[in-house]
Amino acid sequence: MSELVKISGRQFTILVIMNVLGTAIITVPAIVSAYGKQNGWFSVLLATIFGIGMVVVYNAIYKKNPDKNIYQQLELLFGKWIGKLLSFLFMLFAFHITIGNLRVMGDFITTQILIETPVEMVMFLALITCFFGVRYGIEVIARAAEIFFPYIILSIFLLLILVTPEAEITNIQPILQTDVAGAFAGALPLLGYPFLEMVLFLAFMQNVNNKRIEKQFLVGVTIGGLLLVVITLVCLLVLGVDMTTRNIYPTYILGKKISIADFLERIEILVAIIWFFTIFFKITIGYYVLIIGFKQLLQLKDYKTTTIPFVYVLLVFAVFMRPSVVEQKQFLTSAWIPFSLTFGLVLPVLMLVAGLFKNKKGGQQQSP
Amino acid sequence: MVQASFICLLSLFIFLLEYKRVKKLQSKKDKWTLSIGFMIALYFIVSMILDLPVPSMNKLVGKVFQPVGEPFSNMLESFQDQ
Amino acid sequence: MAKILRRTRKKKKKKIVENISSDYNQPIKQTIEENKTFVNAELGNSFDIVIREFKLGKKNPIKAAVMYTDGLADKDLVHNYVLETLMIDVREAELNQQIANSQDLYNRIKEFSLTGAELTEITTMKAIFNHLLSGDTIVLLDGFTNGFGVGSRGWQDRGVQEPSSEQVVRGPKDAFTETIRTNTALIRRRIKDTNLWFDTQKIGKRTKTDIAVAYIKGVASDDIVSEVKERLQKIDIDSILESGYIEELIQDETYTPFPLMYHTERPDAICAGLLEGRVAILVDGTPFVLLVPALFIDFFQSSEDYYQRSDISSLLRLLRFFAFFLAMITPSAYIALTTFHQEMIPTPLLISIAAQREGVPFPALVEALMMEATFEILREAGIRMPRAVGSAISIVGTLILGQSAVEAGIVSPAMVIVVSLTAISSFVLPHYNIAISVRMIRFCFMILAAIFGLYGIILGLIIMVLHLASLRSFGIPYLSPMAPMGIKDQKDALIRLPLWMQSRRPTYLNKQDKIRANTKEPKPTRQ
Repeated sequence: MSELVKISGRQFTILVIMNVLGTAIITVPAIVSAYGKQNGWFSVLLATIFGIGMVVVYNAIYKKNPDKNIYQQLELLFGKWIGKLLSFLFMLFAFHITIGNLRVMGDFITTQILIETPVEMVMFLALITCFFGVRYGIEVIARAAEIFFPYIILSIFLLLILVTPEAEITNIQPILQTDVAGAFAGALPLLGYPFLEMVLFLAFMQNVNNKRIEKQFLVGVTIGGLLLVVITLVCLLVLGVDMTTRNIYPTYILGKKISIADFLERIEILVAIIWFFTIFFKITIGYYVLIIGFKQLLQLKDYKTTTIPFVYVLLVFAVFMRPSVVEQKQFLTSAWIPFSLTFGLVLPVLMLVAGLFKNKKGGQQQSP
Repeated sequence: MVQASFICLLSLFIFLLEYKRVKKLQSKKDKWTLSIGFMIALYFIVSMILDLPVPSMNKLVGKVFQPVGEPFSNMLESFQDQ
Repeated sequence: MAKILRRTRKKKKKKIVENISSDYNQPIKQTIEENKTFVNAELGNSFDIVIREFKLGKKNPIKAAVMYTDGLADKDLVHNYVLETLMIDVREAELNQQIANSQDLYNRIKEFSLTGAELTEITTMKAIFNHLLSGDTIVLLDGFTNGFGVGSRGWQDRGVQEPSSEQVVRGPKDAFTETIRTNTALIRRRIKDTNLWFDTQKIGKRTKTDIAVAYIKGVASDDIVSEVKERLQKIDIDSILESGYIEELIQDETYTPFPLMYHTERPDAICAGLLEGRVAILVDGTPFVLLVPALFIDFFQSSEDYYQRSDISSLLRLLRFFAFFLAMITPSAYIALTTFHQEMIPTPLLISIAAQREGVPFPALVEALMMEATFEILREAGIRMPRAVGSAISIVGTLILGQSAVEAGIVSPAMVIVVSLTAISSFVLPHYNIAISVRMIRFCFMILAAIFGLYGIILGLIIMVLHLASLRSFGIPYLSPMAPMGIKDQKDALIRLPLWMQSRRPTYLNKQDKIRANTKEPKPTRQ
């Protein structure tokens, strides 16, 4: 890696925020309010706190070898072959996240916006866009994120402000009196989605050109998580528990409540537009991490080599991922939790322990 | 079938374009990876068009992690029913 | 088979035309006669080359010759300061002092007689031709292999006039001309700094066009200056007729609709660029001077922004960005809304649009493509028409195509509004070349919108921004100072803050000499 592209700390923070918001912004209120009822926002808060804790772990891994990505670290810690095997499994995780997000996007568009367009076409177009991003490299992705970020934040605040007149405080009362256990449980599916997915950032953290990167990472996750809390809260306030739970995309329904001067109505597509941007970056990051992994795994000269074949593979797997939206929700509450925990929590902790062990060994060898 | 052959032709064209670029890298491994990658990609896309079975990622992950995931989903469901 | 193919391909790649005779490097010949025949033979006895032979001195007259190109050289200058001095003054001087040998004569002529300001000694045939064909006068003496080139360039030119492509309400009204000397003077007159350097070279095997790289030493980053020079050195071509040639030969990326170099005919814009640390490339024969590196936002700024009140120019800049967006998106948004997202249009408006479109036989995409194409044709026709026919075009455009097409039910009135909005918006952009790129991108967006609605437009936008973010102009990211973000540079990007707040040069261009002003907020000194 002679010419290492560098992104700035601010760009990294923005990418983290985009990834936290990503798919979550539009579906999370429904998931958490199903379990936590009116305290759903508390589940998001809990998950955020957990997410911040996870970032501390990731930062510790990064700090061990600041110039190596996770794949190189795995090979360093566990030896070449076990390292490669773990790398491959990690890439499987990235692969799953990527096609999952792609599928969620495709489902949303074909059910809500372009009802007659086949889902394959929708996903294909999204994939082509991401392909351009991956092909241009992380530097360009980060810059594009920097361009879109102000508009995304602006649109989120606009949405929140425009719907506040419809808010009713009774919708979230009693606050943290009943269903608190449910709120704790509701945080569970949220751990992996979106917070444990942050482990993907370990694949290109060495590209960040900033000494305070650890702080940037924390700031990104905190801002993203708090935005999610606020959005969930507003969803509950405006729509009520029942409506929020029953819809798959409650934030989108929130957009439908906007009405400016009885003239501009039904501009919920604006919500969709915010979401397109965030999810685009999320898919691109997943795709990029996957490609970077392949480069490391096969010791390729150029990471771009595998990009085109992966367009096909990602598309096909996204199409055949699952038959229905209902099954997705079921998957999210069962197998997804241990799956994400394995790669987001167990693997990093294992890496830390292995690092400690190795350090001790290294220290002993050095001392005599 | 027509669709499949059309996509194959298109892929061949893309492959040639991409191969030209990879050739400049002067790395045998890259050439092989690209060729095999395209073959696998074509296999999947053709089987998608011809409605042949393609492994589902969800099922794969489900098979491995379902036993561990079961308690989680049971616990969550208990809250949902309240 | 493949080998044969490859071999033939290699053969084709052979040397570029280089039948310029190798004799050119030979020294000047001894006798005038030989030189004369050689020059005449090489130039094919062209009738614009004037060779005047005469004798020098009274006692031992030496044959001498003066050559110049009629039309390129200033005849008065040749007569008064070359021929007259040589034929009369030398003779008179000789009366007083005997010239001992011929070497003395040569030096005397050089030091006392030739009264032209620019004088170069030339020794080769190549130099003779270079000087002769650039308008200088050549003086040759019999028996010497050295000659003189006297600067006598003076041809008919246009004179400094008002800029025709970028007009301002307030601001200087002079523009560059086709003569590089005038252009350098226009810059030098504005920046009286010793650090303003011009680095000249000739490019083009046949045209031998003068190219000057101008920059302010210490302000412009050395990397950029050397990069520009290096890229210019790599050019190997027979002719440079306009700065567009240079632009296309040295820009960072060819396959992009966006301009990566800034060109202008306004000296004040070039000077402002130089003072920010950019590098200008002047090309002889064209009033358009190039400025690098050029960034995306530069194409939304006009030099007038700095002469007006800052609040007004900030507003105008925002308006230009908005217009850029409108020019790009309007037709595709119309297509997307009418075909996919009718629910987004307020009901009364939807009803009236539907009523208008009732008689229109085409889908929205075809309607839009048709009208946009018509407009592009009209515009292209209008630009290159003889001026007398211009009014005919506007009549055809407005009356026949606008009104009658609507009345005939071929297009809906809403579509006409959309097209005119697009057109007017693209005229708001102060630089022609960014307006052209918008025209191209617009059609891509229309097709995307017709297939995928707003979703297509959004993905198109993402691809466009990705592409923009991937571009660089001479090493500087094209989207700076937005991405990578420079907080300090925002003072003069989307908006323009008052001059006294802008104490620093753009950080993305300058690593050295960052401070450019140190003025406090203006306040009355006594109250």
